[in-house]
Amino acid sequence: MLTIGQTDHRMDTGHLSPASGTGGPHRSATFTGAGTPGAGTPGAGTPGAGTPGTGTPGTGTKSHAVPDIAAPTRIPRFQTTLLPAALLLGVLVSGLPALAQDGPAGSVPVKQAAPFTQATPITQATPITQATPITQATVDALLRELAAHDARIQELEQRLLLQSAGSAAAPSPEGIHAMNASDRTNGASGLIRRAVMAMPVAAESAAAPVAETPATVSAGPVATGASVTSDPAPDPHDHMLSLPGGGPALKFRGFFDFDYGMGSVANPLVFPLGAPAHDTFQGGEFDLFMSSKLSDHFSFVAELVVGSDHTNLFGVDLERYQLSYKANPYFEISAGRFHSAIGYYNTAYHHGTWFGTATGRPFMYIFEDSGGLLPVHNVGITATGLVPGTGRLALHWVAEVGNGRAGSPNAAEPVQNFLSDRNRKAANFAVYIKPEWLEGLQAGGSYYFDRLYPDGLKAVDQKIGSIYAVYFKSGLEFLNEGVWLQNRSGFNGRTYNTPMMYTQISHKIGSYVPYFRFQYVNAPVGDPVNVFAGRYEGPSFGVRYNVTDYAALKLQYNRVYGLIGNTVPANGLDASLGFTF
Amino acid sequence: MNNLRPLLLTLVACAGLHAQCVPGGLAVVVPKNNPTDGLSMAQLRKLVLGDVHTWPDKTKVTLVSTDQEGTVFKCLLSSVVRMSLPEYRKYLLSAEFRGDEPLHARAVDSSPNALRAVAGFAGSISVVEAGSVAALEGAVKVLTINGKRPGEPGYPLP
Repeated sequence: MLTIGQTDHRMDTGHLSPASGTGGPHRSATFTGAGTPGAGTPGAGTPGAGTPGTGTPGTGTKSHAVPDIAAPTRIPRFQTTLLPAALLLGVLVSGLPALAQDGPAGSVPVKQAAPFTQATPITQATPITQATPITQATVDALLRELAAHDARIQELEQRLLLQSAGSAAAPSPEGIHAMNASDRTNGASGLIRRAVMAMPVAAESAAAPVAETPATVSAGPVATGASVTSDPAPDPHDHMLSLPGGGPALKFRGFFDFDYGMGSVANPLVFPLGAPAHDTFQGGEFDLFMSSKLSDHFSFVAELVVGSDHTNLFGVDLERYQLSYKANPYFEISAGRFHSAIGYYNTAYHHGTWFGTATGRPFMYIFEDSGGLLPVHNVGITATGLVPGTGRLALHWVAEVGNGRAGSPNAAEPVQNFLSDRNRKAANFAVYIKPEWLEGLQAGGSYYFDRLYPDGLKAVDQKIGSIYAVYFKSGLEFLNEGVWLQNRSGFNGRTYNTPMMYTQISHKIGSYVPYFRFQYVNAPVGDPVNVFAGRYEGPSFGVRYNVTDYAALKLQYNRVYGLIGNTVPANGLDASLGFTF
Repeated sequence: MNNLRPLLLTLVACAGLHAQCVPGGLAVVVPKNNPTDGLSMAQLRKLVLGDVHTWPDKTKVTLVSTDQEGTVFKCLLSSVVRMSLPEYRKYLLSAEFRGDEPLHARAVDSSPNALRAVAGFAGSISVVEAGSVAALEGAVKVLTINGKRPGEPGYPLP
């Protein structure tokens, strides 16, 4: 059931803990907030009081997992404030019999305590025994003491803050973890109080070598004590799974699109359809994206996609999985199944159509199992990084090696996930720049080569060159890409060249993004490797309407010339609702 | 021409007021012990977008942002990265989706709290109201942007 516009993400930024609390999966409720202490009241959004298993998913309760590293011991604030409150409660309970002797239960009028200020002096409350009758004066005295304690705590926190700030200390992980997205809802004082209370002694300073220099650096001591890792940028739609007791957290996010297509060239994902086109409601790709940071240098991302095609059957594909090691800005290496660095679009946009302005990918980047021409996926190793010393040009490099696509165009699965049909591997090299002097520009190119062995034929040498320039600035998007695919058959010595290109321009106007795309692909008939043969050329124009920050409604018209067997241009109209959840 | 001068001055003044979307302007602050003294606008943009993740001393960059729905943060986005808040979120998400290292960030609800957080956390950086810096001047350092300090002619932040 699509519930567009509903953004009630109940596991929002919290760490869901499959702890063994009563009643199924529960969040860990180690909450350091300064909100109203309680027992994790379901539905009330009240921070839990540290009892594992008492918070219930779906109640909007914010909670945090246990910090990664032990923080300095301190008495939680709620304990210090609860202590007098508990005292008061105990007194009231113990005094009830006495009250009952004086009159019927509940006949004591409850008065609102007078407001107190921080200037309230700390006074010793009158000692209370069980025999002491409860009077309003006693209650007032206890409340005054409570307020005085609170004022004293605040004063001490202020002192600690000044001391810590003066010594430029590095805080503990707890301090940083405490400043999580949930803190935004808990007020400034609570947040800073927790951050400040977590500040340990100042870190020893020492000089450190200079790596990538994003700034003007002056000689001087550098704090090295901050061996602190902080979470990635919080987002209202982040979902997180973590194990109690530590271990990497799994962050996941979903994407989906639902379409209504009219005409033979409406479908943005699959071509050729393999069946006569009728007006159709279509479920797009149900995409679950997962990422996890294993350590400072290792991370993992994966994309699990459930989708259908002209057979109407659903299929599950692990479209992407990459274990990455990032040594520094100059070198990062990943192993797994990745999107080949051919051109720009293929690595910039993946299976979540919500990211893209248009309803679907340009025809030249259609996925292999949908009839695509290019090896947009590869299984192997990819490495990338910034070229040292390129400064304001920001030249990046990419090198990839992998199985390449299956030699036979009739293979059930064009991406060689498990078995390769040859020893020879495909290789791809790419470079791109993101110059500082022209903000928003990225330009680059790539060269891919492989040797395929189609069934019953001699080797086919495949070479793919690409070049692109894209520009983004202030709502303007301008994409331009060209790819030249060459398959040289060892059987007849013929060379089959397939030029491909597209240009796309859009500009955001409020919540609307009108766009235009023109694309051209011309694959020769007889190519021993390509699935598609013929010309695919024509304009597409449409408008994207951002319904919410995380959902977009798109309407796109396609007109395609040159399809084989068509004497007249083909038309298609596609309405698509794409969103992330 | 003389008749036009008041009009031109008024227009310039209005433009100036418009450009300064936060009273007193914005200041970029880091902990006092950060060896960096200044940034270019391009470098600041990379830091805010999460394109750069480490300081020269290899300390992790953590962006301490004021309330993302607030004026200061929106002013930062419009002037430094030229994006709206939804676009910015989409950009960060897109980077993560590509497999890039995500931006490390923390959110607080005001400039004074951002200053306190920056003062206590090595590697942090924040863009705050310039007028609020005085309260914790001894604990944080105000960076120059394109060689200019807040209030100086040519300072690029509004």
